[in-house]
Amino acid sequence: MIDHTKDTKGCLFVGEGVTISGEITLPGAIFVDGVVDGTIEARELFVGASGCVTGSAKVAKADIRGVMGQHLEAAEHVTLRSTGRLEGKVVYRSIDIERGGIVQGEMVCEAALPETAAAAPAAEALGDERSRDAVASSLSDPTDPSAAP
Amino acid sequence: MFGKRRDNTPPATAELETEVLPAPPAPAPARGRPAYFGPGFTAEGAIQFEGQLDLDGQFSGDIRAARLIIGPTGRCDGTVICDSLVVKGRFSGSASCRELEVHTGAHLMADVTYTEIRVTPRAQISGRLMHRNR
Repeated sequence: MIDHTKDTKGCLFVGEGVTISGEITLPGAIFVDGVVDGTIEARELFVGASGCVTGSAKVAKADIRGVMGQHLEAAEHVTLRSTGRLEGKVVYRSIDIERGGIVQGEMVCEAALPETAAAAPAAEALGDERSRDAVASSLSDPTDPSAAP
Repeated sequence: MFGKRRDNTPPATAELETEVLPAPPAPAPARGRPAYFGPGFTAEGAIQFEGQLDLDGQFSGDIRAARLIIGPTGRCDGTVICDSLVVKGRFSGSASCRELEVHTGAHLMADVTYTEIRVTPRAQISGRLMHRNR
């Protein structure tokens, strides 16, 4: 279940079985375990194993365990987990795809930074990701082995 | 605003070049010793090999092999059909493979049809990725 003791200000949780359609803009993270049909503009996007996003999303970071369709634009990092599926166009700066993840579509890498300059923010992002993973895994099925970082 | 196209690439509905590539050969253990093309090696043409090909030099043309490993200094431009494709350097063109691995520091600018993919952080991929079920 969702741990409300964590800072959830500016966040949106779409539980399993919930369908939302329309334009969603939020300052924090959106956790999708249900279905979102429309456009998302957020800082972070977490799509759980049962989650499905159809439409477009413009975020800084994305962590996909379910299905993300049509258009994803991530200014920073995209993590595609083993159960995840990315369809359509993906515009990203850096990406990490676990074995089992599926990409069906066009990828556009916007990494214009040189190797050394890109290394520092990427390391920082990994540290941040771990704490986010804790939030994300608390949302998904605890028995799901892919939920563990 | 949202959904705005940032580049001039053709829409995804365009005919995919990768679709015409034949399916990669059935997985078979790489026979014999791998063939190695070291740094400084430059060639173009076509290579057909039943084993593992380690490319640390430059090659442009067609490659058919069981396994192709493009090393960190390797550059490959052309069409690749193999069971397993590992990219640590640069690859451009089109490929059809069962297993695709793109490592940190790699630049992949290609249309790839694959069955299984693995990408480590800070690999750069631009192009169309098509998943093929096996």
